[in-house]
Amino acid sequence: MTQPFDLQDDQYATGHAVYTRAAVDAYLAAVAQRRQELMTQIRIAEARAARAELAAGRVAALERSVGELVVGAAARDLNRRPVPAVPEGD
Amino acid sequence: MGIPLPEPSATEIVPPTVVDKTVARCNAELETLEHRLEVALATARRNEERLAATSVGRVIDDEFETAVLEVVERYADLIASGRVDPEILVESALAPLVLPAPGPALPEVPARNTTASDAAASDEMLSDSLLSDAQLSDLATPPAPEAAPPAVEDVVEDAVEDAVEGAPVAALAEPGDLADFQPDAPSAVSATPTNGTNGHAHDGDELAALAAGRRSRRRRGTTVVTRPDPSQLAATPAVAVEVADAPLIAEVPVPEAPVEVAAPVEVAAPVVAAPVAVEAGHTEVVPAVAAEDLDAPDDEQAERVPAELVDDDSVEERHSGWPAHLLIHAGLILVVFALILFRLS
Repeated sequence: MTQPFDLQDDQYATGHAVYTRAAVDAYLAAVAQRRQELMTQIRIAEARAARAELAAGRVAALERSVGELVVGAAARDLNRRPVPAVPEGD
Repeated sequence: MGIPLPEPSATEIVPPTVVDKTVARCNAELETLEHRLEVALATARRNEERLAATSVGRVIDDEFETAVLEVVERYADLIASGRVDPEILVESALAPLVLPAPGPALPEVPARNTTASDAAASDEMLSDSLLSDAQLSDLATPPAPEAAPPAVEDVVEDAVEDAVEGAPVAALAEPGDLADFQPDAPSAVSATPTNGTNGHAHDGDELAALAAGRRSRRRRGTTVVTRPDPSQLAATPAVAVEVADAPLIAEVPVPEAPVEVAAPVEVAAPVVAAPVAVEAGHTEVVPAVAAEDLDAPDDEQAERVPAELVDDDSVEERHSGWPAHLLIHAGLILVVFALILFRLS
């Protein structure tokens, strides 16, 4: 059986996995993809948080100005509406 | 001249130490990103939960904010216009949502002494709006171009038509209220003097209130209002003036001596007024019955005039199916024939 490397070398000693460059490149590509996905999810979550925080500020301002009842009534009225259909092509 | 290194082969073995360092660095980076994601998600959930507590579960977006701001604007306009009592709006949180958007200026009700009946009427108007418009309210949907709000003239005209159909008859006008009547102008309503003694009278501002709250007035039925003050009528805003100018109600002068109107009094061609005996000194305006309405069932015609405003003779006439004037004419004809026969014999 042909050994691909010199067993006398420490870094190729028994117990260490041996990876070819192709395998390492594939691993790095997977890591990059996972990193991209995480970054996307983080941006979405941060956008949600910022949007909710901004909305909370808006609602608080509205409630202070017109009262909680009016804002709550508007929310209930809007919640009763059907979700508008997304036009084709969007 | 150096010798370039050959391209690394896909089968080249990467030293394990390099692989381990690379894997550790990538794992640390991914863990950091995952931690950031968890923090961001937790923040978003916390903010959204706090938002849900204040907005009844509505995810606040531009549509919501636009709708709320529209409500606020209408709320402010309603309050500023003085047409709605702020206390009533406070009592009902849905009122700003369901009240109609401020379109063309509705006829303003002239200032009057607020009575209990007025307060009840206002409450009823508001409840009407709540009941009817709440089911149809769609704040974000802009009105269709062809669905333009009616003009003030149309509103007043509809209100008067509704009043003619459903409101007390004598409440529409009194002799002194129709000084500007144009007898030759086409009219939707003909007036026939009768010996009515109904004491109901509406003044100009009542008509304006009728135009503003027609549904409420229709449900309330009979409304007794005090006689109008001439000075108040003169100062009444445009609604009363338009109602007075519009040849909607005709007044027929009453002769001094009792007469019998033999022919129907027609003010407009398609409108036929029922001939009724007249006594001097009494004038009552009754709704005309359009020619096409003569074929309507008796019950439908009976609904137009409240029963309490119709004298008993009229009720008996309707139920018997033979109007009094027909019976009178028939009797006269019989008397003439009897005289002729008596002469001949």
